[in-house]
Amino acid sequence: MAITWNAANAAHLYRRAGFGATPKQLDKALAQGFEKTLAALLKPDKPQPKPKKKSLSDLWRLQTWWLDRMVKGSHPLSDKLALFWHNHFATANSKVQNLKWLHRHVKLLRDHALGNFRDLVDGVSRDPAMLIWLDNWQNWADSINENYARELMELFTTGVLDKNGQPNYTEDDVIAVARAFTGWTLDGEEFFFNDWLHDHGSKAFKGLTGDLDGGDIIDSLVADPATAQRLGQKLWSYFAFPIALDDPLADELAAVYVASGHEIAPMVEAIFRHDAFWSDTARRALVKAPVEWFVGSLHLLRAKVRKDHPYDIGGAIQAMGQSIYNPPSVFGWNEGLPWVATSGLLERAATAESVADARDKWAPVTFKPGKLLGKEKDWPTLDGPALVALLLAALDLPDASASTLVALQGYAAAGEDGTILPVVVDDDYVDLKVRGLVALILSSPEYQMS
Amino acid sequence: MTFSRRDFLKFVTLPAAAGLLLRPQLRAFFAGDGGTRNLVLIDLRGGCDGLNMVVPFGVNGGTYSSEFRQSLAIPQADVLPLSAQVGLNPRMIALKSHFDLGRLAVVQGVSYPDPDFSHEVAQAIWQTGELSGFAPQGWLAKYLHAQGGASPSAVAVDGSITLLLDGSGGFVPAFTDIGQFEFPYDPWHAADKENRRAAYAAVAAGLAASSKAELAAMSGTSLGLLDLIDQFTALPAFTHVGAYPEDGELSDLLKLVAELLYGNLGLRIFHLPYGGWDTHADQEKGDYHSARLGTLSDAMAAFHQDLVAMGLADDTLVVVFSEFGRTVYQNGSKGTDHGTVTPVLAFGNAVSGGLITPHPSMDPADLTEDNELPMVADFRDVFGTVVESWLGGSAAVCFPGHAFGNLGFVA
Repeated sequence: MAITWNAANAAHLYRRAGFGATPKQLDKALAQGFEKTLAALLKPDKPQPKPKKKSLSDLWRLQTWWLDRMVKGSHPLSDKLALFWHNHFATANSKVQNLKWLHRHVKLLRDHALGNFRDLVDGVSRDPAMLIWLDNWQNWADSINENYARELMELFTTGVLDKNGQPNYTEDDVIAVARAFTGWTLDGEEFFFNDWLHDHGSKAFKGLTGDLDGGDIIDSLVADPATAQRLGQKLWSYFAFPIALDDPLADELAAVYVASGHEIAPMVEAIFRHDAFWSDTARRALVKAPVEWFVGSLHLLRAKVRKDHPYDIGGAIQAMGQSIYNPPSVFGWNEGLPWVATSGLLERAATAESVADARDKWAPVTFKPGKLLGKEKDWPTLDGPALVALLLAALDLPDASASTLVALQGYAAAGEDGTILPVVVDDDYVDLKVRGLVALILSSPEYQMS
Repeated sequence: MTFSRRDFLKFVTLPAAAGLLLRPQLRAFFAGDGGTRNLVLIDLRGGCDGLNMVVPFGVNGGTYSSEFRQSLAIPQADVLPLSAQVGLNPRMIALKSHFDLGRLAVVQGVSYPDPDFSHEVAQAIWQTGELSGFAPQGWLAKYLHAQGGASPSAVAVDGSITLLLDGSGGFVPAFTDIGQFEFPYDPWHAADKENRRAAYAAVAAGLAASSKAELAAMSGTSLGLLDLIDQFTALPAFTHVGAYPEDGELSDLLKLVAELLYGNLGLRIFHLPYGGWDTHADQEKGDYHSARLGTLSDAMAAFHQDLVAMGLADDTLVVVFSEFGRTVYQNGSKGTDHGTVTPVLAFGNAVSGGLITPHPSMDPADLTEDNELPMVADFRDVFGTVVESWLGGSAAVCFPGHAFGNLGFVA
C-alpha cells in the first residue's frame, strides 16, 4: 500500500520512531516525502559518548545526562530502541552499584540498537554490569550458578513458551547453558574468559553435544525460531500495537529477522512500512512510557533540561516509575496501562505542572510559553478556541476529542471565583493561562497515548 | 472487636493505652464494598528461601544441614523451635512469640502441580490462581469483582497495579506514599488552582465513556485520584505505637496501611510486593537473608501493635507468601537457586495458629525429578481458605476448576 503522506501520518510515524514531531518538523517531513523521512529516522546515531565524571557521580545525574541528550538528540529512534533493549535486558544499578558500568551497559544497547542481534547478545553476555547483575561472574565449573543461563533463555532470547504454548527449554537445558557459560567472568573492570573455571565436559543442548561454550549457546539461541517469533512480537508491540506471540504479524517479522541474518533494523523498517502500522488499530494505541512522555513533552515545548537540577529531573523520572539505569527487576518495567495507574498518572500531572510553570532559574527546565504561539503581533487575533487549537497542534494532539476541547476552552475563559475571564492573549494571560493549558494538556488522558 | 486484657497489658506503658484510639466514622462517600475485615498480603518477591525461614532441622534425621545446606544451614541451637522438627529463623523472635500465643499459622510445603521456575511465570500463577500463568485477572480481583462496591476497597501498595488486583472492573488505586496526593498547581497563580482542577476533572469526565479502553481507564483513574486527594487531605493523624524497624521499605508500607485503616476510608485489602529475596549468591553475607527475615518479623509485630491500639487486631489478617522457595541444595556461590515449595504464614488474632501442614520430606530419595522438595499444600487451598473463611467470598469464583479444600487456619 502506498502511504498517504499527510500531517496526521507523519505525526504517527514520529510518535513511534521518535518522541513526536513539532509543527515545523511535520512541515519538513511533508516536504521531504515518506521515503526520505523514514530513511533519516532509521539512520543509526553515532556511538554514545562517555559522560563527564560528574555525571557518573550519582544515579540522578546520569539519568539527567541521558534525558538531556534525548531531548536534544537528532536520532530519536536510537534512543527509543535503547529504551526497548534496556527493558528487554533489564539490568539495574540497585545491585550492580557501579554507574560507569551501567553507562557502558546502556551505551552497548544503544550503539547496537539497530545492529545485529547476535552481536547484541554476545556483548550483553560479556558486559560487566550483566555479569554482576545475573551472577555469571561467579559461575564456575565446580560450582555453577544458573541465574544468567535461565534469564538468557527466558527473557533475552526464546522465552519460556513457544507460540503453540510448548516449553522452549527444560531444566536440564538450564544446567547445560549454565555449564557452557562457566568461566565467563571479570578481571578487574573487563570481561575475562577464565579457562580454568570453564567446564570443559560434554554438554547436550538442543541437538548440539560436546564441550559447548557460551558462544555456541548464543549461536543456537539467536537462530532459534522461538527467538525470532518473540522479537517479532515484542518489537511490533512496542512500535505498533500490542499483539500475542502467535499473531501472524509476529511470524512476518520473524521471517524478516531470519532472512536478514538476525539484523534488527530490517524488522523495525518492516514495521513502519506495514499496512497494519498505518491502520486505525495502531493509532494512539500505546501508552507513552514516562521517559517518552517527558522527553517528548520537552521536545514539543522546545524546553530544555537544566542539567544543574538532577534531583528534580531524575527524581521526576523515578517518581513517574521509570528510573532508567535502575529498572525494578530483571523483568524491567510493565509497559502500557500500569504506567498510568494512580501514582504514575498523578506524578505526570505534577511533572506537567512543574514543566509548564517553569519560569525562573530554580525551575528544573527552561520553558518559554510564548514560543508556542507564533508571532507576538498576531496574539491579539487569538480567541479561546483558536488558542486551544494552536496549543493542541503544538503538543501533537490536534486529534483531541470534542469534550476535551470544551473543557480546555472553559478553562481558558475561567476567572477567579467563577467569573468569566476575557481571552486577551498578552504576557499576563500567557503566564496564567497558556502555562495552565499546557499543564492540562500534558496531564490529559489523550496526551498519554502515542 | 474486643480489646483483650492481654493486649492491653502490653501497652500499659505506651501513650496509646491512655485511651483506645477510636477510628473516625466510615464516610459514606467512600464506603468501599462495605466489608469489615481487613487483609494484608505481603508478597516476598524473588523467591524467599523458605528452608531458612522455617528451618527443618529435625526432618528426616537432619538432612537439612548434613546433606543440603552445608554452609548455609542455620545452626540447630539457634533455631526458634516450633516443634521437635522445625523452627523459625533466629531473627524471627517477634513472630515466634506470636506463634506461642496462637496467632501465627504456618502452612508448610506450599506449591502447585508442576511448579514453574521462572519468577515471572510463578508470580503470575500465584497472583492469578491459574496454573497456565497467562490469565489477565488476579484471583483477588475476581473476589472484588464478585463483591461489587461503588468505591475502592483494595489497594496495590506498589508503583502500579499488581496482577493480583488487576481486572476487578473497578478502580484499584496503586501507591506507596500518600504525601504525593495533592493536586498540582502553579504557586504563582494559586487562585487559579480550582480552575485547573475543575478543567482536569472535566477533561477526564468527558472520556469516561470512550470506546478506547485506555482512555476510559485513565478517565476513571484521574477522577478516582481526585477523590483520593480529598480523602487523604482529611485523613486523621495516627500516632504509631508499634516499634517498627527502620528499614525504609516494608515498615513504611505497613505504617501506611495502618494509617489508611485508621482513617476508615473503606480501603481494607492491601497487596504489598516486597522484593530482595532472590538470593542466588552470598545469601548470608553480612547476615543478609536472616536479617531481612528479622525485619519482616519485627515489622509485622509492630503492625500488630498498631492494630491492637486502634482496636483492629481481631479484624485484620496478614498473609506472607513468595512465588517459590529455593533449591534444597545450596549452590556454589553460597546462595540458592529457584526452587519449589515455600511456607506461607498467616498472622492475626483470628488465626488458628500452629503448624497447619507437615514439612515436606527432606529425604533425598523423596525429591522430585527436578531435585526439589515435594509439595504438601496447594497455594489455591491457602488463599481459598482466606477467601472463604476470612473474606466471606467463594473459592470457586477465585479458583475456578480447582477442587478446593479448606485448610482451617482461620477460625
